[in-house]
Amino acid sequence: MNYDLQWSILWTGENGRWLLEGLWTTIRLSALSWIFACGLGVLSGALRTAPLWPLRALATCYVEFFRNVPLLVWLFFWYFGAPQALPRPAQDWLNLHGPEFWSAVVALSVYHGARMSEVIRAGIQSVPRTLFEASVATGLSVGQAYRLILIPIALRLIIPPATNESLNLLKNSSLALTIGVAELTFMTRQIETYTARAFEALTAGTLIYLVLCLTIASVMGQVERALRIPGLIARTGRSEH
Amino acid sequence: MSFDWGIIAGNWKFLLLQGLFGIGSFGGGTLRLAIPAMVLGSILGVVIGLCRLASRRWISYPAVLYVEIFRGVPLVMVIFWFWFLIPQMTGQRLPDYAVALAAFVVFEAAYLGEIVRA
Repeated sequence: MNYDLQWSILWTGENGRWLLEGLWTTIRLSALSWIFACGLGVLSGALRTAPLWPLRALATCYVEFFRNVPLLVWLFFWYFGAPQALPRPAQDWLNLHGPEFWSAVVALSVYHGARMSEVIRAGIQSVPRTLFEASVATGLSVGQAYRLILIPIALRLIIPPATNESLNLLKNSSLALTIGVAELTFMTRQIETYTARAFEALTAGTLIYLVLCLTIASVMGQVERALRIPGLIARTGRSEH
Repeated sequence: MSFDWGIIAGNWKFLLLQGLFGIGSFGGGTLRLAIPAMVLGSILGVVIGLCRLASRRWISYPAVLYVEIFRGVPLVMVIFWFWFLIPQMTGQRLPDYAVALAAFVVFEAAYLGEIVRA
């Protein structure tokens, strides 16, 4: 393999700025989607264990529907399909504010919300049932028992699988390049196209993703140790990407 | 907004035969890619998982490195790497199908390796 490396292309001209802009877009996209996904996940994960069957059925439909269609299909759906169904003023607002970015946020949130919901449901179910019965017996309503007792404990139990799922969200945000969001992978490709230096560009992108993922994983490892509840171990397995 | 489901009815053959089964002039097909990728990925995954459990460090450390690298990088990135590296190393261009399959197998093996180890 004869290929002379020119690492300087990574910071000459526009390229360095492009990489940083891509990184910033990746972080913004992932962080925003993560917040929505966690909200949706906690809500539907809790509803899936609720004592009322219509609520359980509703949450199950949401999870199974959104989890079993590839993320790429959802990206195309929310970018090419869904905006046409919006009312005119909403479409105008979207076109002014970067429709690619917001479609990607919706796709990632809804897809990963469904996946996060499974993690949270497993967490709630691994809290002993007697704890729920005890909290209702002390006079809390079902909603209060969930809000004050079950969900806070479950959230502490699920830190490892939830971290895993969050890192999947970060990595899956790279698929947003297919609808034209200028995130890190998109910028890596752009540098490659402009300079024809694929090895350097791909190495830069790969290292940035690796550093991001390994940093988050090690920080969350510390958080997990700090928040561990002695005597309670989550029965949740490692989820797939 | 009006729908025209006729376009699905008119193209269902292409959608199913080419898109799902990979029978046709294009190099893909969901099942044609996914099934060999699952089989080969499982085999490599078992090997990686067993290597991680090995007591000899020169066997287990590379396996740890392999798993951590591929689990920390998006699949799209791995596909781009293969797309670029295979022609560089072999000196010839492989069909799209082979590049995608190789990327899937290598990527999937890292995740399956973790499952096997656990």
